[in-house]
Amino acid sequence: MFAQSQGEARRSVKILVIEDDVETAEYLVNGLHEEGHLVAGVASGNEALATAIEEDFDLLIVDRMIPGFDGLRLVRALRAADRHMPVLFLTALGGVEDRVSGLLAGGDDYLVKPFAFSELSARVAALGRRPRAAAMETSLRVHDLEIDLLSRTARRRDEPIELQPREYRLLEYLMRHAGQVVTRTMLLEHVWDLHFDPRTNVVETHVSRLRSKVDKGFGPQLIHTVRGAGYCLRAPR
Amino acid sequence: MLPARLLRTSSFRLTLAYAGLFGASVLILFGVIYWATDMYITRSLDAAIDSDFVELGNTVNAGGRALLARQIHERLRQMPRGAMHYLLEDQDGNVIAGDLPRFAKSTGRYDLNVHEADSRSRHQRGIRARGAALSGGDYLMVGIDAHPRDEMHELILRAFGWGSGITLVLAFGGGALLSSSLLRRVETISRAAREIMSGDFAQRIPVREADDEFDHLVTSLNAMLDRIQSSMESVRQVSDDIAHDLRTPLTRLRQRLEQGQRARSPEEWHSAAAGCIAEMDAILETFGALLRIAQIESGAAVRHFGEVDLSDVLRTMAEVYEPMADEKGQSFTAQISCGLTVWGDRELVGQMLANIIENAMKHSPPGARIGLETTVCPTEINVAVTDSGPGIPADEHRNVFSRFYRLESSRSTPGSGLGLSLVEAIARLHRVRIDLADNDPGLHLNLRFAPVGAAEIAGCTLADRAQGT
Repeated sequence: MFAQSQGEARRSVKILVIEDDVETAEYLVNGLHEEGHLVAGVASGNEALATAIEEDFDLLIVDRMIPGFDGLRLVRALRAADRHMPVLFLTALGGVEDRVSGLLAGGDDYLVKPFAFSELSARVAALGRRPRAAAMETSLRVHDLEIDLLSRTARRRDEPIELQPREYRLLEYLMRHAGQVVTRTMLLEHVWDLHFDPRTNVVETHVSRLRSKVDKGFGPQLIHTVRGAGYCLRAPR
Repeated sequence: MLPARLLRTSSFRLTLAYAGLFGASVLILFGVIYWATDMYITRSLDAAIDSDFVELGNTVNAGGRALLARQIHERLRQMPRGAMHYLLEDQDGNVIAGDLPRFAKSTGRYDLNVHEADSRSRHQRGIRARGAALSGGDYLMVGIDAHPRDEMHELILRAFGWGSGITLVLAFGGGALLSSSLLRRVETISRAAREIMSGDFAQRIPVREADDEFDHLVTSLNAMLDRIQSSMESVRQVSDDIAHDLRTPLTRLRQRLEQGQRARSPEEWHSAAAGCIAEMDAILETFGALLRIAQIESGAAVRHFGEVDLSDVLRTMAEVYEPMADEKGQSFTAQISCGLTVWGDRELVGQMLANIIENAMKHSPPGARIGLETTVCPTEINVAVTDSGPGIPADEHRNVFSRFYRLESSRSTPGSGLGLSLVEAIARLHRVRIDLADNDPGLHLNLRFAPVGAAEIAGCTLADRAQGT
């Protein structure tokens, strides 16, 4: 049932994919497996519920429209059974109220079909990350860049960086997901709370502004553009 | 109108049920009257008998059986057709005096029927009587004519007969009248419904202006029909639009796939695949926008409406687009009042504003001025998005909101021609008025929001309409 990749994954996530369309399921399982995740797939809601309760998964990817079984019901049942792993809804229902009802039912993220695989992959990485034990942390640090979560200020090489409030939120989001790819839509959702896709390059513009403040004149580049996927803030190797 | 149909109508059945109920209460009422009257008369008859009994009892005490017999004879002789009747028998059952027929000796009160003494009529008459044994074994019975009681009974029964007859006639007549008038009105509605079903969707049920429950029903039905018709039209519009505007990019996609098939090197194949994905994304974007417009036009989102901090949404927009304008070499100025609240969906309002601002920026050249400004008056909140670009000719103002419509001058700029259609759909859902004016140069687009109190009412009625109630 499991597809275990040969090479040691950098951050392997144990994923259960609940998708009734065989081709889509295969695409998801194979794709995620190639990324180094441990992936299982089931096609029916009842099987999904049994499997998810029996085994300990780090993440569930749930199609909202499984025949005869609403993905929302599955998640409610899981939460009632005291299973609190993150759930990513995958759905063709893209309306405002559909997303809201999905999140209200206990979903953690919502991706509307059709989607780019890079988008799914980035979200899986973000959701599958184990929560850090130190929830009380007051600062984040990547290489020589540091932000203070309380005073909401940033410093690099101990030099303060002037940031607008939204730029700070953007930087904080990138720092919290350091080493991971974050996509344009993830940034739009979490930094600006925009759940639609502006057709202009809003994110590009803001990231390049932030980059000019954070990277310019400080030596090694920290904020990287990942072509065709998004952005990644990481320490130089 | 067929009588059989009339009998089947619910109003007629209801009337009948009422008539039955009413008849039953009349029956009970008459029964009580009958019983009470009967009791009263019987009691007075008994009182008369009792007083006579006492008198005759005294006679027995004074003079024995002989005096009693004499007394009875005397009384009957004096009043041969009187109300009182007597019977005195000895212990062997021989009649000593009196005009009542022989009788099985029984004591107490009872009713009996005797044949008329005179033979001209075989008529029976009712007698109320009391019998008692006297000392020495004699038996005395005193009776009184129960004629008044019988008359009263007859009177009451006749009144009851008439009363219930009239009640029934009124109930049937009234029920028929009421039912036929209701049936006529229902018939009008169902005839209109049949015509609509047979394809005449523009048809509406006539309203009688009587402002009664039928008119309310008809008004609701008509509103429902309006709503269904507009939904159907929007669905048809979407399918027309898809057929019309997706065909071109789909054809291009097909061409690119064929190119990929003929690719001779991995590089060629790669570039064909990348081209296909880009084409597909554009198609999906158009498709998504169409679906989104249709979804918004369906009005379902109204159920999730709440208070939206418009000032906050506007500030976010300014924050997002100010650097963008900067990048394009345009200037962006925002003047946003604090504490503006409107009724709606935050995300949709945001998308509407984003589309308008993007539109202004996209169609304006570098160096243009983009403005976002709010003005507040007690009845409305105005949000103006201005630019100093080429503007839109006044005779095109109406057209720019239709789907896939693009000005001749902007054919070369990328875009699906759906941005402002989405704006219009969201604005309509939120009861926001859009006015276009010349900014000289450029476009001045004004959104008129109702402040939260007023819009809340509008939102609710829209929600009611959306649910078809």
